[in-house]
Order: sequence, then C-alpha cells, then structure tokens
Amino acid sequence: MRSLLITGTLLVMISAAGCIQAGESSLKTSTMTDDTGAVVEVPVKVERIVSLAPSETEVVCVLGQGDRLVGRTDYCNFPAEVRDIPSVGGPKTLSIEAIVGLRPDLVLATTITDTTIVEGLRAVGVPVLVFRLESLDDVYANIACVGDILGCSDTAELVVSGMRLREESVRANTCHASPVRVMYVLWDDPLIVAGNNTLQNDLITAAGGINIAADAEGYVIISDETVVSGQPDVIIVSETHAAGTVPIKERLLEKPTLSDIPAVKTGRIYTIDGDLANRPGPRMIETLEMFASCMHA
Amino acid sequence: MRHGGVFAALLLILACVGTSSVCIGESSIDCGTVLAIIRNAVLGGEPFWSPAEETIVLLIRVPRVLLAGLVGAGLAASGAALQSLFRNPMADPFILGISNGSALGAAAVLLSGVSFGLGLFDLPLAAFVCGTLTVLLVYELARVGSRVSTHTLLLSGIAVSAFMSACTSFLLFTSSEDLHQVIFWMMGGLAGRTWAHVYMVLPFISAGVFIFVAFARPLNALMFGEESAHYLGVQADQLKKVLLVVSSVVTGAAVAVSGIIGFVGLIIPHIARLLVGPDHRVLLPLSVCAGAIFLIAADTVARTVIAPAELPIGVITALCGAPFFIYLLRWRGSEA
Repeated sequence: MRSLLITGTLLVMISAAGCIQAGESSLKTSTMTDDTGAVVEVPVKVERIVSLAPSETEVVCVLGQGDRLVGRTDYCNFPAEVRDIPSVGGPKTLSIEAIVGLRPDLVLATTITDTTIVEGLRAVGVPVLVFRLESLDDVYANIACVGDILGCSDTAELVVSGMRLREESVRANTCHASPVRVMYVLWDDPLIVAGNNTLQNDLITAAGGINIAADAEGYVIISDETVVSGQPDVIIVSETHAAGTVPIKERLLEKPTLSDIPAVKTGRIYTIDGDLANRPGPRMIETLEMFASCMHA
Repeated sequence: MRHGGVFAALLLILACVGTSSVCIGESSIDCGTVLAIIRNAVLGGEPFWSPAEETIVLLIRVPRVLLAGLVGAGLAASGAALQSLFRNPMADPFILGISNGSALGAAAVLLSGVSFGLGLFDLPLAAFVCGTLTVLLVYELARVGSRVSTHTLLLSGIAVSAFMSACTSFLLFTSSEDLHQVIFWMMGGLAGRTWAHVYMVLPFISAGVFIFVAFARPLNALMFGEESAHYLGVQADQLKKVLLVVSSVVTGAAVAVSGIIGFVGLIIPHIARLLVGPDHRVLLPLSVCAGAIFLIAADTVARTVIAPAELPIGVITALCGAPFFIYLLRWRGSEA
C-alpha cells in the first residue's frame, strides 16, 4: 500500500519535565510511515508547512490551507497567490538553511525531491513526509493524508470524491471505444517517454489507451525502433516553457524515422503544458480529461 | 604483410558483427527479411514486408550500425596515433581536452537556447567547434616559439580540461532549464541517430583515418624519440601539428554525433598493440577495424539488453572492454 499509514496511536511526548516552555505546537506528535518507509513524527498541530514539490503546494491550497504555507520552491507556480510565499530554491538549489530558517512544523516532499535534502532536514529534527505519486490513486491518497494532518479531512474527502467522479465519467465515456495506442513524450533527443509505473501511464490506461512503452519501467529512453514497431495512433508531448527552443512537437515531426507512424501521418501529436501534465496534484484530473479528448478526438 | 591473417580475420569479424547487429533489435524481424530489405534497397524488387519493418531496418538500424562503426574506428585510430605521438600509454583522443570543450559547447547551446538555424545540427556543430577550439587553445598555451613539447602539451591539456569542465558544471548548476539532454549527451550514445549524422561525419572520419594510415612510417620513426626521428628524416614538429589537427577533427566529429564515449580510444589501440605489436603500418588499420567492431557490438548490447529502454553505451564499453583488456594484459601480454 502506497498511501501513508498512520501506524501509531497518538504518542504523547512531553518534553522532559517541562523544562522547556511549551511552544504552541510540536508537543504532541503522531507517528506515521511515509511512502518511502521512513518513520516520521508528525506534530498533531501543523501550523507552518514548507512544500518542496509543486504538487504538494497545490494539495495544501486546494484544501484551503494555503495560509499555512510558509515556504515553497521556485517551481511552485499554482495557484497564483503562492508566488507571494518565500521560495527555498529550485530542484537543484534547495537550501536546508532557508528551509530550517522558516521554522516549519512539517515539510512535504515527493520521491523526486533531492534525498540529501530530505535526509539533511531529518537529521536536524525537521519532520519530512515523502510521497510517491505514480497513479491517480496515489494522488487521492496524498490529498486524503494531507487533509488528515491539517485537520480538514472533510474537505479532502470532498475534493477526492469530486475527482473520482470525473475519473469515472472519463472511464465510462472511453471504455467502449476501441483502444488507442499512445506514446507520452517528455523529450525528443534522446527520446524520453513515460513507461510503466508512471502517472501518465495510469492516465493513458484510465482514458482507454495502450501505452506503447508499457514494457519499460518509469521514465525511460527508448529507441526510434520501439516507436516504429509500437505504431502509436496518438503522441502526447509535454512542453515546458524553455525560451527560444524549437517545440518538441516540431522536432518529432522532422524525424525521418517517424514519418510513417500513424500519429505523424494523421497529425495527431498533441502538446500539453508540462506544469499540468507532469505534476501529480489535484489538477491531475484535468490532465486526464485532456488525455481523453486527445486520444478520442 | 606478416599480419595479413589477423587483418583478414578482423575484416571478416567486422562484416559478421555489422550484419548481425542489423538483424538484432527490439522488434523481431527475422534475418532473412532484414537481408531482403537491404538487398531490395540496393537492387530493387517486390517487398513482402511491412513499411514499418523497412523503416526500422533502413532508417534506424543500418545508419546506427554504420555510425557506431565510424565513431569506433575514428576514436580508436586517434587514440593509437596520440599514444605514439605522446609516447604515453594513458593518452586517448580526449587527452587534450576535446571532450570537455565539446561538452561546454553542447551545454551552452542547449541551455541558452541559441540556435544557428540548423535544427538537428546545432548541437553537433557547437560541440565540434568548441572541441577543436579547445585543442587549439591547449596547443597555443604549450607553444614556445615554434616548439611544442609533448609534456607541456599534456599538462596544459589537463589544466584546460579542468577549467572547461568547471565551466560546464557551473552552467548546469545555475541553469533552470531541463538538463537531461546535456547529461545524456555527456554520457554518450547513439540513440536516435539517423543517416544525416552518418553523412555529417563520414567525410571527416574517413579522411582522417586515411591520413593516419598514410603517416604510419613517420609515426614508427617518432617512437624512437623526436631526435632520432629527426635523423631519420622526419620533421617531428610538422608531424605533431598534422596529427594533432587530424585527431582533433576526427575526435571532434565523433564526439559531435555520439557524445563522449570513453574507453574505446584508450583501450582498443592497446589491444591492437598486444595482438600485432607496435608497427603502425599494421597497428593503425587494425585499431580502426577493432574499434569499429567493438563499438558496433557495444551499441547492439546497449539497445537490446534492457529493451525497450536503452542503456548508456559507455557503461557497456567499460564493463566489457576492461575485463577483456585485463585478460590480454595479464595472460597474452606475458606470452608475447
């Protein structure tokens, strides 16, 4: 089970004989095991959160708890109001000092977060929860778990059930269509695509498609040969906003090796904003609907 | 030639490895069909296979095998020539900083988004230009008057390499753009390479290899030291310049299309030397063959062993090449 387990009962930890004046939080903790198997003491009252992943920033905000966020990353750009929150750096430039300086009760991260930062924070006593987000179910569990911690499990339940409803409707609308062969491209040279155990593989399957790279694990480099023998009907490309570069879609269309595959011949290459398509947050459900409309256009 | 047998055997192996590499791949197309597709492309005929199979064989596998052969041959020949030129067994095609220079060029182009309007060829061009400029810089730094000592050349190569590598690291670290292309380029590999890449490097590498072989006799003379070579009628300084230019161009071309593939240029010449001895008239052609065979085989493993995913080719060149080299060094070397 990927979701977080609240393993312990509430452990009441009274600091040794009250020699420290009781701060407003952090006296009581509950023991949780995160998706990486780490045992984390999470304060019962979490007032100050630092998010190290755009998806976690979105989760906190969708639960209406954005005012508890005291830190984010350079890449957290949604919802727009989080831009006013101080950033602790980009993926390669996260600063432990900056994070600790914000005195967080809890840090939220994902398996993509630099593990040396996660370990470094834990070593100085900052609780860090790491989520592994590889499917819609993982995203639902993530939202429910953060809802539990922030004391708003009702809202979380509402959000998740709304997402599930939209997922069901996509599944119902696509399950009778003939299966579409899909390739999800993150980069063209080398060709990097989403294989098995990725969020996008889950979305392709949910929207009634077959991922031509499902035999490979995770995000992988594949050869053009795999594409030609896989014969994708639809190619979905995620584009990040690197300025001044030729869009990936155009570079794919230029490849002589791919000129004969169905997706290229019929022009069914679709570009989705990478911030939306590669971010396992609450807006994943929008991505699923986009996938479905690309695949069954 | 005394080593005609070895040479013929290697050519035969090269042909076999090349052919079987074209037949092996992730999608199972049987050998008969593959050969028929190739024969058909040359002689014409009625196809009995799907267009997809034809694309896979003619547009994906054949150019990739040819490119692997060219890059392997070029790197091995450069390595052999430079090892003799420097009289240093640690010399390889990257010794004068060409790899780090090219990497800096590649990273700068990728991360800045600058385009020369050449599409696919922006990156190879930047890598090639920066790589050869780096060697030029190293050469100028080592030059005193008209003389260039090989020791100073090696040392300034090391210093400039380190500097270039630091610049690349700085660029990578401070960039907020996607880094995977730079990183994969630096790891080296032939994934996604096409005929265009073959045409791009074919003239440089084949001309370079030809020149190396043509200079086999002067290289033999140089092995006795620059002074002795001088008495044998060899202009050591001239020879040095020519070989440096040629090896820079050959290596630069190889690096431009395949990234930095280590090990081939270092180990293949040593293997060839262990097999046939130090006579460059035999050693150079042999290195060319062995380099091509080795890289074609390594690339075949790279694209099939964990298919549909691709393994970085550098992993294979070192993983297979090192034990084989140690074996030759320990057992064959002691016999000879």
